[in-house]
Parts: sequence; structure tokens; C-alpha cells
Amino acid sequence: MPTIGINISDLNRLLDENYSLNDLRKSFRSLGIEVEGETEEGDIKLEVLHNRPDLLSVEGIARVLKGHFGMEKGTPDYELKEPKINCKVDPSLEGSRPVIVMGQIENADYDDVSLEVLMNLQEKLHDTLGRDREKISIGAYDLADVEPPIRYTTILPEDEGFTPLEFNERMTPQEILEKHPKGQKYAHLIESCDRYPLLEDSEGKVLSMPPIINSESTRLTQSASNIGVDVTGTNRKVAERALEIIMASAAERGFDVRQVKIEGLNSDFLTPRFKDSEWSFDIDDANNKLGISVEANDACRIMEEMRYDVVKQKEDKIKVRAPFYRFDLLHEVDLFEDLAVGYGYDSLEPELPSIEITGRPHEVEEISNIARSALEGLGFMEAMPYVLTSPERNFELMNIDECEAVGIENPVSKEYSILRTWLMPGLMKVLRENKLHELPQKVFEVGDVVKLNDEVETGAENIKRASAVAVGEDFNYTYIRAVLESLMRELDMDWEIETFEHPSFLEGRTAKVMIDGERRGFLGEVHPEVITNFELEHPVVAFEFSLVE
Amino acid sequence: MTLEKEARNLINQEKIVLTSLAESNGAAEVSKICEGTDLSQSAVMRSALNLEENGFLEIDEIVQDFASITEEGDSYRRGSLPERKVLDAILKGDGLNFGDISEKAGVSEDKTGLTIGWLKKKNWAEIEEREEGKVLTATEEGRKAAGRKGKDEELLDEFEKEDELSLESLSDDLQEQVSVLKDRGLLKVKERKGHRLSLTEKGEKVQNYDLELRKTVSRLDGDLIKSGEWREVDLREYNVTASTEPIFPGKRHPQRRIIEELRSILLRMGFEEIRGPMVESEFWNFDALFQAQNHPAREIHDTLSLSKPSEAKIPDLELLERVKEAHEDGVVGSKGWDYHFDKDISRRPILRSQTTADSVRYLAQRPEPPVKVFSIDKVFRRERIDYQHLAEFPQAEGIVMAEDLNFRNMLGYLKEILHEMGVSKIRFRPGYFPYTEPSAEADGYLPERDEWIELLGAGMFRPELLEPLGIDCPVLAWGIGFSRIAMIRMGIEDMRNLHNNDLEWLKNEPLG
Repeated sequence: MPTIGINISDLNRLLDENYSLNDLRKSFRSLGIEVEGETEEGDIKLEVLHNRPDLLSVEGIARVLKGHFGMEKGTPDYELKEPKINCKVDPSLEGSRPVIVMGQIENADYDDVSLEVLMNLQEKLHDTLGRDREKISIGAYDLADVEPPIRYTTILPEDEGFTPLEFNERMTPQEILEKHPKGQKYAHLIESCDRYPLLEDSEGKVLSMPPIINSESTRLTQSASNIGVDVTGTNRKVAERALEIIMASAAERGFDVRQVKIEGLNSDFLTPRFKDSEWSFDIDDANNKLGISVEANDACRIMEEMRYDVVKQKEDKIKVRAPFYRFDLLHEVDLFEDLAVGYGYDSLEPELPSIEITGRPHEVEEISNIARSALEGLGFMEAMPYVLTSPERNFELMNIDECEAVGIENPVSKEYSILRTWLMPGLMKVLRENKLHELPQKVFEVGDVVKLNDEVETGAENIKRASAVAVGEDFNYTYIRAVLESLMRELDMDWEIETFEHPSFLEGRTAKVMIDGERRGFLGEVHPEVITNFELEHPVVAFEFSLVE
Repeated sequence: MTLEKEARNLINQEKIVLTSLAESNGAAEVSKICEGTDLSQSAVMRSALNLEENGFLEIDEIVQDFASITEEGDSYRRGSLPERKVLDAILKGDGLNFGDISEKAGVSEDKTGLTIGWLKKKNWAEIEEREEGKVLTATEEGRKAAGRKGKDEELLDEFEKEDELSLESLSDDLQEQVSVLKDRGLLKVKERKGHRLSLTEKGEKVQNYDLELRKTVSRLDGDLIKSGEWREVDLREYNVTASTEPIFPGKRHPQRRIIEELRSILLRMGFEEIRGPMVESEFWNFDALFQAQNHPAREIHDTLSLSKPSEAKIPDLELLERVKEAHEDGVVGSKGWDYHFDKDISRRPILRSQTTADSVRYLAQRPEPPVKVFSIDKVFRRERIDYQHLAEFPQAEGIVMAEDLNFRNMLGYLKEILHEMGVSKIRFRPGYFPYTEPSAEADGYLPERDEWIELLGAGMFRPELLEPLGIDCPVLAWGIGFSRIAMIRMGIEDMRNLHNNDLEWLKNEPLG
């Protein structure tokens, strides 16, 4: 879940109140906002739900609290003004990052705290909706010296360029990608293009080179009262959502918000839109879903506290308007959850229904547990190695040439780059890790391995296997055979033993385990090469077989 | 206890001491008893202490004189006294010339004077003045002494077996010789402390009962048991308080024990156990759960994708179509995710990232209520393994499908599961999962930590998920933060220890 930092006095300024964190804890929890921590300076760390990007700044938090405390009801009263500025998209952007949406904030009065909130909100949106700027990138500028219309165009890497933020000299786009920290970090997003995206005014003054860096000449400071916000990228829907959230935050602070007219590649349109959505539902459906019996009137009151407008209520039918920034609403169940949140999870009495079904263990797990009990009784200790392993351990160290296994395309490390096809290598690793401990040692595992199989739906299948290994001077084939014999007896399995060769075992001291005429596994004295591969110095005996077909 | 029984309970050594004392008229020094028996001094003392404790005898501390043989004395013991050698030489001929003593009797010259003195003192020889000089000739007494040991010689012989003898253990006539030999420098006498044992009245009486010795054995074996001979023998007593080498039973892994505990709770609650493949298609892992294909959890940094196998099959193409429609345009009044759904993505195999895939697979096959299933199965995440991250870990989750289930019923299950796990104080708050709505998180209060810990997440499957499966009745789903619970139970802070396979740790981690 995303976390945000808010300043308690900034929150109180928005609420026009004087709350301490403790006054708010219960409210936060009931709204699904978790308090992660707090500093002495009054900064609070909050965790908000994934599906609520509108809560990624203090303004969004203030907005839900206002409804919760009854300070405001229904959707927020933001006035969206008609556009004064146009932004024209140049056809050269086609194929790279052609999307742009813009908004204008007027009569802004940011101080150092609130300006930082705006910056942090941009970053949070970059990280979440924007997938680290891949989908969208956000910029904000002081429009004081900007001559509209604004042009969203492209620039050649070796063009004259501009002075980027945090630098005091003009650099070419190429140089910015190579030398500027942001350039280095985000170069991969555009460097394959012939021309890089550029935002400039009608006189050629550069605002920014999205998604990399803004220009120093339009740097946003506290003194700016006329601010432009743009969101560029590849996905218009996501870009609009990010813009709506930022503009709603500015509006929540009481600043004027104004649309910008975008002259796009295909059509002209206005952003942001602040377009609320309408929903109708039957209170009975909500009550049935939640297991409560709220009267329609009370439901209306709760929905207003949750910042919905009640458009119409006729008997049990309720029609509401949801605020434009609630992008998480897909279905009426999402409104039912809001009703439950407003009603209070603490007020919902848990009720266990009675459903007449008998619990039943899975057959394979039952067999596994019998095998575990038997091996425990034989003095073996259960180990739990990972299913993820390396080709080296699964094959090479075991003296095996082949390497047919489920392979990870994006492993974090080679150590965990395939799925094990058998259990023994993991147990050998356990012995290696315990080589300094007292001998003899006896360990086992009953667990899943995964084998490639074209016949099955996903191309690979789990196979439950049992394996045991023992290291010590006195262990030999007779011993491990006796152990296996005993285990098979407990499992009530009919099995046969036949001579066999296996590269991990000594020739003439290994055999295969046959069940229903099919080879299920093997046992024997481990090959000295394998023993030394695992840095061991004493005889090792082992068996392994599949518990089920 | 009767005296007869007490007598029977005496161990062999005690019986020997008692019998030996009786033979010595009821009292003897420990050293004396040692001589008469084969017991060592410490064995006699150990028995004596037990016997004293049980009132059979009294132990008195006494001071005793001990004689030990000197080097010179010992050489005479092995050979013979010089006067004996000279006497033998005299008797061999007709007297012994003074000048020949050293040569014929083998007595060194510096000893000849002393030796002549002893011959005279013992009255074994006398000196005759002959023309060749002084000659020793045997007396009557000397002739009698030939071939017969004197008392002093007998005393020397006593030291054949012992280096040291208590004077009291010697007969009176030998005792008289001690000072003689001491003066000759052949014996030394030292004073030492010792113990004297004397029978009490009870000790006297017990002699009337059976004090026959019994065989002592250290190991009770089958032969003794079968033959009944165990009744006739004394079993050596052990030091039962002595420490032993530790041994350990074969045991289940601590993590397994928690999995089993959870399994038994869920089986008890009437859930049926299911399993699913670790290699899963994106279809079941995400698409069928109404998780949009552009959802961040599906990206390459979160989910482990596979190079082999390269493609999964979709068993039901009509279902795939319905899922696609739910994603793109929405179903049952939903707006859907409004994007282009790519069926190739559905076919991509990955490592299962959530066990909900198992549940939805089950529902696809069994869409009729009622259903109550759970799985405790492995899930994989693309994480670098460290203190608080694992790339694979078990997840426990379950679903309930029945007519008329509601959100409060779901809270009921959460409460019941936590209650069974021993967490009685719980609270709920809103949560978010891509495939459930409404959703909730359950926190449990852990008194030992004085902390509320997030333990369960749950929700009701979204209609957009159920509709393509042909299900129109409510489904509750819950998941347990298994790793967190296991770490609390196992008392570990480092998540990697969930898979700790250190044998010393495994041996010493108690089952209870």
C-alpha cells in the first residue's frame, strides 16, 4: 500500500481545526487509512489504499475527513473556470508520447509546506499511476513569463536545448540525458526516439522536456500565482486522472482552477473536466450484501458523509452523484463498501453462518503426513528448503548433465532461477550447511517438485515426493533400504526394487523404486563425487520417490 | 522392616564385612578386614558407612602403627639374612675361617663384623682359635637353626605381598620382632590413622540370618529374566542422578507445525482442502480474478515470469471470452477496466503469486453452492531474499460460497478463524484487494506484544469475477498472513528463519 507524509498543522489549516494525531486515529482507521508513524515535528506517515490515488496528498485526506466529521456534505464544491490558454500538440509526437493534458491554477498562494505537498503528490502519482514516469509524467510551471499558446512538440537530441532545473547552463537534450541526474534516470523512456518531447511557449521559451526535466526559466516557486500543470505520456485516461487529482488538490486549498484547451492530434478537448458520475442502487441490495438493515434516509446521510451527492431518493431507490476523483468506482458494490465504511466496520456484528459441509483434507496431503510421521519415527529431522533453486545445485553438483526444468525469465539471482525437479539436492545443501555439526545426521523432506509436462494445462505440474538422506560413517545401502522398506510398509504401498544406474549414486549400490510397473524413484549410496561436490567428507545414503503417480 | 528382610537386602560387600567382623570376635580394623577378604579399603569403608547408618556396626577412628620394609630389608627378604648365609657356609665345611667369610658366605666385608655379632647373639656360632687363625664353628643352637626360619625372617616374609603392614595385624611373636628389625634398619615404623569396626547388638543378631553371598551383575539381561535368576543376583546400583548425552527425536520443521495447526483448524471449521499448480497461467492467477492486465502487481518486477514452459493452455475458451468482456466493457452493471485485453497475456505461464488462483480454478469447475474450500500453498514473488522478504512462502486462504451470504458472515469467519488461532481480541477496518468488494482487514491484539497486528485480509468476490464463471451467489474469500503469524509463533524476527534448516536449532526447538 502506498504511504504518504502529511503535516498535522497543514491538515488543521485545511480543516480549520486544531486536532492532534490522537484525535484523528480512530477516524483514520475507520476510513481505511493506517497511521504508520509520526515525527516530533508533527509529520505523520499514513498508508492509504491502493485504489485511492485521490488520497495521495493531505488535501485528499482533508476532503474525506470533512465529510466524516460533517463539516461538508456531498461532493466538493469546486468551481472549474473556462479555458484561457490553448495547448497545441505537434504531429511529430505521434508514436512516442503524444498524450498531453493541462490545467491552470490561478491566484495560487503556496507556501513552503504546501508547495512541497504539491511536489510530493506529483512524485506519488509518478510512482503509482505513472509506473515511474513510463505511462505519464507531470510538470508544473510558473506561467508569469509564458506566452500562450503552449506548444507540445519535439526537439532533436543535438538541438540548442535549454537550462534544466538545478543547472545553470544551457545543455543540449543529448547532454541532459547524459549528465543530468534525472536525465540519466529516465533516459531509457525516450532515448530510442529520433526526437524528444518538448513543451514550449509561443515564443520558443522551454517549459520542460517531458518526461525528463523542467526548464529553470519557468521554475515554480512560492511566489508563483499563475501556475500551469501538464501531464504527458502514452495513456490519456491515466494522464487525465493524474491531472484531475492535482487540480482537485489545488481547488481544495481554495485556489482557482481553470481548464486548458488541448488541440490534440485527432480532436480538441478541455482538461481537466471535474466530471462527476451518477449511480443508482436499491437500498435492499446494499443491505443484503452487507447483512445490515439501514433505512434509505440513513443510507443517504451516510453517502453524503462519504462525499456523494444524493440526487434523488424514491422509496428504496437511491440515485447518487460520485465525485469525479473517485476513479475506483466500477460497480455498485464499490458504493456498498463506502456505505459500510460510513456505517462503520466496528458497528458490523460478525455472524458465522451455518453451512453443512464436512471438512476434508486433500488426499495427497494426507499421504504426505503419513510419510512425515514415519520418517520422524525413524529419527529423521524434517528440513524445508526452497522450491526455487539453481541449475548448478539441481543438476551439476548432482553429477547430472541434463537440465530440463521450469526456468525463470526474470530471476533476481541465478541461485533462484529454476524450480527444483527433485528434493535430494536441497537436502544435500542442508547437509553442507550442517557439516560442522555432530554426525550422524538424518534429514528428510516431503514436498512438491515441479516438472515440465506438455500434456498438462500450464505446461508443468507439481509432483509430491519424499526424500531422505543420511550422512555418517556407519550408513550404507542396507540401512537406507531398510528405511525405505519401513516407509513403504507404513504407506501401505506395493513396490518393487530393481537394479539401476544413476549418476548421483555408486554403481552397484543403487536401485530403482518401482510402483505399478513404473519407475517412481531410487535409493542408494551417494557417489563420492557428489559427496565432495557438497563439501562433505563422510558416506551419504539417500532415497527419493514420488508419492503419487 | 524385619531383621530377616534387612539381612536379605544387604549387598554382598556388606555381608562380607559383617561376617568377617563376626569371625574377628566382633571387632576389627578396616585393614584387617581387607586382609581377610579381597575387598579394598575404600570398599570396606563404603559398606561400613552404610552398615553404620543402618545400625549394624560402629566405626571408631583409631591410630595404628604401620611397618614397612626398607630396601636393605627387602633384599634380605628376597635372599636371606647375612647371618643365615654365614651359618650355611659354616655348616657346609668344618667351620669358616674369618678370612673366608666374605668370599664363601657372600657377605660384604663391611658387614662381616655385624654379622658375626648376630651369629653370636643368636647363639648360632662361636669363635675358635685355630692355627690357621680365627674360625667360626656352629653351636648346637646353630645346627638346629639350619633350614628353620627364625621369627625375624618370618616377619620379613610377611612383606612379600604387602609393602605396609599394620602392627596389630601381626601375631604377637612377629610383633616382637618389629623393633629388632627396625633397629637393624630393615623395617620402618610409621603412625597412621585408621578405622576400627565393631558389631552392635543388631550386628551380632543379624549373623543368625542368611548372609550367603549373591552374584552381582551390572546388566539385567534376558537370560536372567527368563531363568528367574534375577531373584538370586544383586543388580549393581547406578548413579541415577548422573547426566547423560542428549538425544533428540526426529521432528517436523517448526514452520510445518504451524501449517499443520492451521490446516487442522480449517478442517475442523468444515473447509475442504484443495491444491493447485505452482506454475500457473496469468489467466487463473490474474485475469479470472478480474485483475486488469495493466495492474502493477502483474509487472515484471513483481511477478516471476517463465522462460520454460513458454505457453499455458486455456481450458475453456468461452470462459476466456467472458473474462475478456468483463475486463474490457464490464458485466452486470460494471464499467469494466476499459482497455484492450490481450489473450496472449492470459496464456503466459508464471509462478503462482496468489493462492486465490487455486480457489477460482475450483469455482470454475464447481460453480454450484455450497462450497467451502481452503488451500495452504506456496506463492512466489520477485523479491530479493532478505530480513523481511522471501521469494517464496506459503499462503493460506479459503472461500465460502452459499446462498444469501453477506459481509457480516465474512467477518464471522474471520472472527472464528482468529478465535481458533487463539486471538480473541480483534477489530476490522476497510481494506483493498483487486478482486473483492467490500473488503476488510482484521487486526488481532497480541497481549504479549501489546500490539495490534494485521493478521487476515478478506472480502466478497467482485461480481465481475463471478459473472464469467456463471456464479450468481455470494462468495466470501479470506487470506491469512501466514508468514507473519508463523514468525510470531516461532519467535523470530528474520523472515529467512522460516526456512532455517540448522540441525542444532531444529533439534533444540521444542515441540511444545
